[in-house]
Amino acid sequence: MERRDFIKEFGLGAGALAAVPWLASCVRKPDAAKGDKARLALIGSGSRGQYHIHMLRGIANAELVAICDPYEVNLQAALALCPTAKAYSDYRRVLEDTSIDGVIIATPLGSHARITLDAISAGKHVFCEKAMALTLDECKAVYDAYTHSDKALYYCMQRMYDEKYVKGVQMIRDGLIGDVVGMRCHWFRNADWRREVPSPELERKINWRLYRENSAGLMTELACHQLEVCNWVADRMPVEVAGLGDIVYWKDGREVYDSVSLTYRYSDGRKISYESLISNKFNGMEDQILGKNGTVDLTRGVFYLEEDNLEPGIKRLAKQIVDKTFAAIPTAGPSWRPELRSAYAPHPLIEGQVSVNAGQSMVSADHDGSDLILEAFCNSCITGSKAESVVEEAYCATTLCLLGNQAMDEKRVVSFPSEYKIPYMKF
Amino acid sequence: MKTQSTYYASNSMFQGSATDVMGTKLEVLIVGLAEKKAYSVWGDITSTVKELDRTFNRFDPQSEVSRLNASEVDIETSDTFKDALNLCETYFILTKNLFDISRGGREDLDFGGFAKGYALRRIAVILKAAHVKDAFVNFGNSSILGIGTHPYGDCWKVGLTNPYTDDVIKEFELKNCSLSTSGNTPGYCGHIINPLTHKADESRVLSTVVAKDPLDAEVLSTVFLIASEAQRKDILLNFPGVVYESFDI
Repeated sequence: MERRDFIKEFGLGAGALAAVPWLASCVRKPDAAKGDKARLALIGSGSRGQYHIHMLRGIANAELVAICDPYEVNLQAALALCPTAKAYSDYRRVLEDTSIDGVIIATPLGSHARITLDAISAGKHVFCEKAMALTLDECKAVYDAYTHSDKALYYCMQRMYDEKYVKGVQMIRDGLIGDVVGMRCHWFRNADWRREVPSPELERKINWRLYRENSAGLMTELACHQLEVCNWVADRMPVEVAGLGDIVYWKDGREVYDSVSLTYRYSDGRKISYESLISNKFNGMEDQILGKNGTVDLTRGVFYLEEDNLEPGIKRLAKQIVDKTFAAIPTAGPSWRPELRSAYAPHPLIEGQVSVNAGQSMVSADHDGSDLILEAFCNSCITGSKAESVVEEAYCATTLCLLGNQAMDEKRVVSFPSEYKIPYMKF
Repeated sequence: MKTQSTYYASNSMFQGSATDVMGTKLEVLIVGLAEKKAYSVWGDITSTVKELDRTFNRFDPQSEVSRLNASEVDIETSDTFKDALNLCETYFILTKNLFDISRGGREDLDFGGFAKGYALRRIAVILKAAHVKDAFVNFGNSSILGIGTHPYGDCWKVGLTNPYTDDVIKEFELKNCSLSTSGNTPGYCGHIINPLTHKADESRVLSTVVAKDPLDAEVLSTVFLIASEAQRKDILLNFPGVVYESFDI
């Protein structure tokens, strides 16, 4: 099955699009016969922007006509990939070009809100990298502007379009692991998060992730994806968050934490336990949904059932005898030991080959859904239709990240502030 | 220790399980006893394994083995403990020093490769005294005892499973004998130490032994995991009738 087909099959199969409304924009395609193309500009052509150029090559109705980056090195690198595109160093000049339908924003987080707001004002459709913005006020401003506009706005939250997540969440909703009792997400790397800087005055521009003027650190860069998944599963928002953040290892002048540990609590007491550390990668990346009857690891696309280890072979043997049958019971092996996680047998969530992102790349992972979102965005640029719930999901996840940072900075439990609540949120 | 049990009156069959015992679980199926008698036998079995847990559990600081390990001087030990030490000494000789609960004299005593087999031997005595003809006893999957036969078969059949894949590797037919398995698992590796080389075994091999005596099976399955082929042949001369087999996993 073609990867894109899973959405069609999924949507038609169970009428399940209601639970995953953002997939609707992936199946709503413009009339191919007309040959319309989305005329796009890329704003921010660093490593992630260049990754999008590669992705756009595989999308038939996409045409990249402009590339903008104030940093000449990145601009030239991107132009080498797409020599026909017009070069810009100031994004405002890009927005003045009325022939451009949509912009792809892959700039440092600190500029997401400003460029998005300007682009919407200029009548452009927008595809922006997550997270939504650097501050809660900026998030709200973007959300308000979007709701008053007829332009499409997409955020690149790949998990929302990843087959194993889409099907996994649906299976959880259908009772695969019983009542969901908690979530446990983490992202571990062992790398300094730095890029090479050709001259010292560029440090804060190139290594923007490390400085608070442009970055909210691990929360917006990594946790954002995972918190979105938790809300998707819980179908609600946490009411409060507590956490501790520190610079444990990379004491190189950076301003953002390299170690965070937080607890988000839902109104019914369920919790998200979140941890990220970038000086040890043993635990890798996991998005675990814990149910009364089992556990789903969405990252790997597998689930484990509690009863696998509790249903004793002897009961099967007794049942056999009651049924007057004689067969072997598969029970011999090395010593059975209780409460060892790896003693559980993994069951796949989806058939066929599963792409698993080890979470170690700073740029991208294969087949993680980025291409599907980009394609949906191109469709929106042509049809003019908005994507369902995408902005709302990004808003929810980003505000949670920022509140997490606030809780860590102020060392207190932070409740979700009423002034930033939106109608989409359920608590 | 937590226990659970069911009596199937129409089959005259009793099934009991105990968890949190010697770090694992115990499962028993007895055929052909009246309900009252079956529960009385089950009571004897559970009190025996409880007693053995208090003796051999090295994770319980109050157990006899823990107190002995912690003590600088000799302390008074129970008859069970003395009996076990005598048996361990015999196995030390019969296995050419490879079965060594002191792991080469460098460590505290560890009855890990002994206690379940010893318990099965005691359970077999209880079942025999109660005139049980057909029973199946599984101690933590690694030590299994089949007495008599399955009511609808000519033995008790068990599948050996690969702990890394859950696939069944081989089916064993047990009739008045015991199957013991040793090896590493994905979550528990390197727990078997060669007392002669002091090296931990980290191979992906399952070593299985079928023997009349569950304690022979238990001791030998661990020993054969670390024994060389020459050592194994040598040791097997001391255990006529014992069948050894190993599986790469």
